[in-house]
Amino acid sequence: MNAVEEIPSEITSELKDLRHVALSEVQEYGGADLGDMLRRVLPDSPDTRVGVAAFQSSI
Amino acid sequence: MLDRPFDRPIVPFRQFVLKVHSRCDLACDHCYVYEHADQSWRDRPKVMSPVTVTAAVARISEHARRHRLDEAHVVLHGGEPLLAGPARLAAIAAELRAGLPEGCALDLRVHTNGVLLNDRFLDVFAEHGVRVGISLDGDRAANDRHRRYADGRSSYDQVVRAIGLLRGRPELYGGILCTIDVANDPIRVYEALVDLEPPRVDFLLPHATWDAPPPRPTGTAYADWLITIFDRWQADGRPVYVRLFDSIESTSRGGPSRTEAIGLEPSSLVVIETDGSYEQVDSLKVAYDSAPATGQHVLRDSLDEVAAHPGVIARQLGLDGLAEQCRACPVVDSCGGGLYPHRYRSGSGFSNPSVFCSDLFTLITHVRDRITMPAAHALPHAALRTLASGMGGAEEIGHLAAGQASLARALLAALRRDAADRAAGRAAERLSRPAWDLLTEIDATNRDALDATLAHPYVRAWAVSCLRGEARPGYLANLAAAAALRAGLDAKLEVEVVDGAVHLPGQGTLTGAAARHDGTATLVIEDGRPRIDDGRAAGDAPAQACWRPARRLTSRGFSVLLEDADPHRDCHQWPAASRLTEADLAAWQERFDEAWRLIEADLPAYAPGLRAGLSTLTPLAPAPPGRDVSSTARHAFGAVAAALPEDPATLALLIVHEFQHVKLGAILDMLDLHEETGGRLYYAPWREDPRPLEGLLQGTYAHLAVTDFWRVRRHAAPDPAEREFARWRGQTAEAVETLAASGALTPVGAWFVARMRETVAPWLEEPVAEAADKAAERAARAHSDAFRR
Ligand code: SF4
Repeated sequence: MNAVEEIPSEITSELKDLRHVALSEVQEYGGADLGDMLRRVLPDSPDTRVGVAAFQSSI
Repeated sequence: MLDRPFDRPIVPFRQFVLKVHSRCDLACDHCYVYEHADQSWRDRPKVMSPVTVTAAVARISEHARRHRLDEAHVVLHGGEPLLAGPARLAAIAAELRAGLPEGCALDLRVHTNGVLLNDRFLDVFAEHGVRVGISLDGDRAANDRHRRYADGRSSYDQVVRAIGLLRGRPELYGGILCTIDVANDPIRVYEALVDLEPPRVDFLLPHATWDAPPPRPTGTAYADWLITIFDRWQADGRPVYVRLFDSIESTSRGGPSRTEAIGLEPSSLVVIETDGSYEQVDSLKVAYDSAPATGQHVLRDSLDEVAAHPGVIARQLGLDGLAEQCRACPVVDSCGGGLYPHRYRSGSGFSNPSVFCSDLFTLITHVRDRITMPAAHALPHAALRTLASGMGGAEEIGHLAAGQASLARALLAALRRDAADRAAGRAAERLSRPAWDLLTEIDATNRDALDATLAHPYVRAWAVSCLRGEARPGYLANLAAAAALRAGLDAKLEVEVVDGAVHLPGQGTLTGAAARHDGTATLVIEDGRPRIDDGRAAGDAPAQACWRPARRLTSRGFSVLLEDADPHRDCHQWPAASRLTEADLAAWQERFDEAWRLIEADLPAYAPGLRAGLSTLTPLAPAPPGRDVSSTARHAFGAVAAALPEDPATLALLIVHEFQHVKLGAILDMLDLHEETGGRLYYAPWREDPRPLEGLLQGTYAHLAVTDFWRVRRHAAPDPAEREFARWRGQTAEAVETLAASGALTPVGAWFVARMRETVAPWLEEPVAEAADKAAERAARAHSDAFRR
């Protein structure tokens, strides 16, 4: 199996290292990092819904 | 116009704007409905008729059913929707709520100028679950610049009064929409908006096209205005959610945009006018007369037919639909060419960058320069090789635990965001805010204490249940209290009481706690001692709640939490045992001590990994006679649950077996070892029923350790070890080959399974008693034959 020897020296995860990010800032990430991480552990989370351009027109 | 690309599947609509009233009581001079190129409002009925409402709801419902939408977003819009009156709006909302198919949630909002808003409307909105977004351009001077009545009177006081009503009913408060005018002072606008405590602020660029450009005192006036606010908002600690800034951050990290104003997401919005005609995105009205028209109507055309309209498809092409300049732009993944109508120019249509291009570029670059991109976790090749072989010591488990620590922080952040975003109810907000503040304080001053608290296995189990709406967010306060206790801090919090007990994860439980009607009690921690504050002065309070510290099992310097109190521990395949008596505890301690000695003596290679990663043993209710039950839960890293078995060797086996699941679950949290298999099932030699690929992988990985256990136990207990070894090595080797041949493994998954094979293959060569070998072979054949029949 060729893939055996071709694996890189380190395998990168989709999990971002948040251990040194202040908890108050993790909250603000909100975007892909949180969404991707939640998708991995919680496939039915609201963050995994299909992205669409959200309406925001004013009156 | 584009030709319809026939090979493109339809992008279903998810957002439906219902124009319930086509006139307005204000005469704002920047309004795209009345003051721009499209004048179609003149010919439309003022109010959407009941017949049109019924037809529109039927169309949305048909569309939701056909495309299995799990959520539909409907905005009641105008003109000014409140001119339709509370009774009409109630009828429309009720029809929508009743009309959508089961399984499709309805996010229902109204966008209003607010001047007519009163308690009567709010009662209707509360009854039907309608969130209210209000248009307000900032402070009085800013708002008065455009938002006036036809006779020139200011609307400011009425709008602020309306927002005051909403602040009293926060579950209905959707947010504020602020249209930018660069003549306004950005800081005064920002401060005025923040003072009104909206759950969300939308800053909107004024509607303009290349034919009718916006007023522009400098080349990047809109960027400069927004940057002034962004910098202040950052310095203030981001006191309010700003959708535009969040979307820039999210898209900069490769995530979705949360606004149509930027990003590459396909448009999924359709407008239904008061006369029942379908229109494309509303703001196209600024481009040219009848720009949004589709010629289609709710009484004639389904939403699938509208979704196939070339004008709709043109807004779903992502990068392919953009002008060349945008496609080559370094910020295009955030900007996406800006709001579609802003690209319009006579002659070239929409194949242009936004008329706000210089602003978008400058703003996005500024925000990107100021956000930090966290690094990704990575598993070193050598560590993954060790884990794949079925082993793993302190270093390897350390990598997995690091990933879990990040996940715990992400889940907490998502939870806090969820609570804020949904404003799920006043109770959740009131409970979570002080708890959140305490958690962030401990995070800043004693992160180790917070990390240790978050590492408790059932914290993640609770957070996940909470995000699924199955557990109460108020438990965040119990978490904060546990962290405070660990950090040696005094605290006073409203905590959750479950079954008369206040549990502080990892620390202990206050039993006999009386709860208020909302299920909470006031917990005070002073000098390291937690107690319930029932309002009585210290000293004369009768002994009430009793503090029971968490108990541990120990052996040879190794100690695990004996978890028999956590309210979220019952997430295993088998029911959790209730709190152990002292006698039960003594039995567990004795059996654990013997089991651990056996592991250290017979399976020493497993001990360092267990010492590093097994944090918790959770007693399960007694097993049915003749059976041993044990379990792990994917969302409880570090915990093994078991009913106390008769003998220590069985407990050792259960621990070693279940800890394999703990390891593999954490690996799967970090890496994709297999693809989606679309529900395909595979033969598992040890089960009566076929298993999904991940189940087979989990079982096989666990049985590496089971096989190893019996392999080494042959010297101490040849019967049944000889037989069990012969059986498990054959079944595990067969399952490894099923996995390898599945075609569903990712490259790293295939590599991982090849390492598993390297572990089991030499065992197949080890001599075993002939009778045991033959018996295993016969049993395997019989099982396989029975399965195939
Ligand atoms: S910044 Fe300008 S060129 Fe770049 S994507 Fe946006 S509109 Fe296009």
